Amino acid sequence: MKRRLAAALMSAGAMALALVFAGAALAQARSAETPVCAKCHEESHTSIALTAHGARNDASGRLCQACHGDATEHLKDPTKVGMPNRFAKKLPGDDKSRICLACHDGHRQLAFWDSGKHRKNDVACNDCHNIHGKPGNPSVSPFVTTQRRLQYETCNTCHKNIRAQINKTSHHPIVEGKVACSDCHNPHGALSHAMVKNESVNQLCIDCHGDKRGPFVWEHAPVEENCLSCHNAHGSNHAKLLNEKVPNLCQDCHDWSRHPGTFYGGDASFAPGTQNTRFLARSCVNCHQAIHGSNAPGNRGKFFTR
Amino acid sequence: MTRKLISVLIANLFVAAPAFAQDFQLGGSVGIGGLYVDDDAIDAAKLNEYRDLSNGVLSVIELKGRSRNYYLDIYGENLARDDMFVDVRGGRYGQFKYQLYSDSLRHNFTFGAKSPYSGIGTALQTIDTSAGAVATVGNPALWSSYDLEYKRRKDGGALEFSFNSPWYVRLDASQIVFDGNKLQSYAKGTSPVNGFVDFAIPVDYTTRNLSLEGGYASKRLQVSLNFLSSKFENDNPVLRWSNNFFVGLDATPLAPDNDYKRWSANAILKQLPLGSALAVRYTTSRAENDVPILPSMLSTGGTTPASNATSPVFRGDIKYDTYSISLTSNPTRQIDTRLYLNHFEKKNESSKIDFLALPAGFGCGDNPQAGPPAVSDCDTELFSYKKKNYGVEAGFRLNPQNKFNAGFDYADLERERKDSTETEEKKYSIEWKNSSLDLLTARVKYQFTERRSNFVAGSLGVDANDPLYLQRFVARYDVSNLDQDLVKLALDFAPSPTVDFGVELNLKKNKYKDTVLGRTKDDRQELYLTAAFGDRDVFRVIAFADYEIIKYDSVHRTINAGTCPGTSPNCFDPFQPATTVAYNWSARNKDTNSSFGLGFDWPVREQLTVKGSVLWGRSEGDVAVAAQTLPGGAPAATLVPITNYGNNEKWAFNLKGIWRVNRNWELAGGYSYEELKFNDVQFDGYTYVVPLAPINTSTSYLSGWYANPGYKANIVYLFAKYRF
Repeated sequence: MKRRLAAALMSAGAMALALVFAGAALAQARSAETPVCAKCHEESHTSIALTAHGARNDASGRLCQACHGDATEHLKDPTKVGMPNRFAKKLPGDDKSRICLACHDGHRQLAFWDSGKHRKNDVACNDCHNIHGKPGNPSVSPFVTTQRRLQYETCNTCHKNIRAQINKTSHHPIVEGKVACSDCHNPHGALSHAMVKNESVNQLCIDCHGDKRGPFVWEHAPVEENCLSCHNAHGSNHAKLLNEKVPNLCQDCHDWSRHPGTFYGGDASFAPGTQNTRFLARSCVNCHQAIHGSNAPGNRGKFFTR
Repeated sequence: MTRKLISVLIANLFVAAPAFAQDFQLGGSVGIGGLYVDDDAIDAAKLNEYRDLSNGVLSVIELKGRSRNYYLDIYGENLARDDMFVDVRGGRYGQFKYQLYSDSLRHNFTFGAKSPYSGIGTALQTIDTSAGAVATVGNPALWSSYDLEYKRRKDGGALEFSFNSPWYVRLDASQIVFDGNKLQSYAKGTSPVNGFVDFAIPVDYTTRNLSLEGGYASKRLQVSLNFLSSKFENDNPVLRWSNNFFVGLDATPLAPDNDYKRWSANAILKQLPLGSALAVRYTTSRAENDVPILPSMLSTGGTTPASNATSPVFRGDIKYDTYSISLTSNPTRQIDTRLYLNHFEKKNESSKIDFLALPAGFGCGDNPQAGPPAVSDCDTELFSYKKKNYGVEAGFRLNPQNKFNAGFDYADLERERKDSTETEEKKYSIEWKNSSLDLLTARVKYQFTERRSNFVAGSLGVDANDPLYLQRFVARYDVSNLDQDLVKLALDFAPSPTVDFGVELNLKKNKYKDTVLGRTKDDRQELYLTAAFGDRDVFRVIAFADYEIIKYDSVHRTINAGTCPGTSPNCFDPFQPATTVAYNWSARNKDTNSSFGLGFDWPVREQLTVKGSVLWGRSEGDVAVAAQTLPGGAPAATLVPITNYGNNEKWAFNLKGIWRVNRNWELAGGYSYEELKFNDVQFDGYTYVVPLAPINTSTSYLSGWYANPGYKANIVYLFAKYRF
């Protein structure tokens, strides 16, 4: 704790040092060029002044016009000649994206834009990005300790089923701000199904879950093929993001004499006289813990009990 | 630690360099506040699952700097807390960019967990295994208390150079450290009635990633080559623990170290004829490790028979090769197409380890030898598979308001598995998007999936008195023959710029064809509604409601014996008439989920904004079950259905006020209330030992995980922020 605090204080101190230097620079700073558009659209200019877009603007509003179109006629008489809304909701996604891609096409991050689902489904750049920092919808979430506006709130405006899943009791820490949608998916396009960043779901999961990477002496075949056979990565009501409760999930594949094929019902839990370790608490996983793979010898490994 | 601090300092001085540019504009804020949480919970771990809600100081630093050539963003929050986040980005446009970050997270499982063991959370956990100590060990009042939790921290950075050219080179490095413990449990004996033990196993994991990429990116052509090296290390390869059933020190191998390397190459060619773009990706990767095999296993009476492994070391070696090709075209404004091909291959080239001549209780029944003593082998199976997938998608825009999409996807998967070695899957989809009405956009999609697999278990077992015979009828749902119907409907209605409604309806039905035993059907019905109203500068409110019903139907067979008794011949044939020893049973698992949310942002006046939200969710699960009937008509068994299967209800209420005192100062304060009610038959009446009596060497020892996850909490916070 003390070392953590020391680290935090020193980081803050270093940042403060940077601020001192910055303050000195600030004293000598000239204002960046203010575009002519700011005479009427000051708020729009201010919103991008300290961004990559604003820093590259000039007095003629070159960058404003790059997105919003030629303003020559508009500038002659702004009250009579309006600017067309090139980002209107009704316009095809490609028409709107083309505006941004005029500069950004060729960026490494947009390599697979043409192959992606978003482009195919008419999603345009401005559906997710808002360079003028207009506030989004109010946030609806449990209390979170982060003050950042979280990415999932943008994605959920379209992906409503995912909104429901990430709020379930077992979930990746998406709502808490520790996992972002873009940690797994590439919203700008990818060649993999569901635009996951890696070649397959399993390759993606083991990026973070290195302890499940193996290789193992004893493998569990469905685990090797697809983590989503058992798990729902966005959220579930069942512990460990499982699609279905254990033992039912396991019994959907495993049937044998004695306990694998036995029904465990409402009378098999902790009630005295009927306690059944195959059902109560974590059920099958009480004994078959090494379900992702095992290196134990003999049947301890084969049946994942070690 | 000293080295880390020095590098942080140097990094921050480095980022200060652009501040010397005369046109560099800087803005930002610094904030500090306090958090107070009063919770009412037997176990507050679920409340604190991923959050650091300890009473204390909150902080935030935000800095944004821009000049014509340089940029700098610094963000840090919750400094010195377990969920600290720091991110520094900057660079010179077109020349280089860099990023440094640190993200901490805690994962809490259970507070006040219990264990009879010494050395909780370490690689050696012991109890007194003598006969006289059984009763004492089995008395939870004498157990030690601990917290099941770990902390995760990811530190990393990236550096990219492009020097105003299409060429670039990028280096990414990160380290992820897990520190703490988590729950794992192991069987004590070789039968379910021998009991199990919950352990807090040590979690000391480190994953180090290094990635180097070089490429060329222009509007017409992009090529890149990337190399990734990822090493996972576990400081505790084996957990050794006292096992009072076998009376001795048992051993469980934990997550093995591994070394993962991947090469990937991408090429994208755009501006081709017919508005086409061709994208190609090739990857080859390898996961390797060397794992010593435990030379012996603990057995009855504390004996340790040899594991007789054909090699003392397992050499793990799994190779993945993939390639993907995608050709998208826009031959006219109305038409777009995509052709794609994906190939994925996993080759398991690990050393094949078999365990030979193992005594009863440890053998797997392979190559049985009558003896005495009777022994059998355990043959491992190395799993490899290959998947070929190709498809075509076409879109036709009849007019700006109507677009039709159609698609066909084919996948062929070959695998090494005992039940099915090949699966073919075909998907057909059509979709219509309409925005004819000014205020309404509608999208409807239908997809049909047909999956067919070969089954190679059809001749298993000598006859219906052989347990193996049953496997002829078991279809595992991840490969079983399947017809799937999927319908999606989405409506967006925006009668004015400040009002919009959204509806999404998803219906998915899976019919597992030809399945005798296993999952026979599952379906999902999901409805999501959203409404938003108001001008963001005046008052904006959003509300949503979600409703889901998910059902899984399945059929299984219970055989209450290892072999068929005389009263129940051919008991491993599910088509035999039911007896009280052998019968089929069917189950329907149903989950019903509802949630509701409401949030508002209200700029009450220029200086004051009030924000609030309420979020409610409820889930209910149940299992209806029916046993096959006996020839006389009575059910073969009385099966008790489950009515509370993961039932829970959550409330979260937030109210926050932000007061802008002046141009520089802002004060914020808020109150939150959260509540979770949890009711699950698998945890009702929880006890730390099972059974409660008699206490003997077959007694199971439980930790308390998920016994009491419910909570109520009042959260209050204040924050002062200075903007400059």
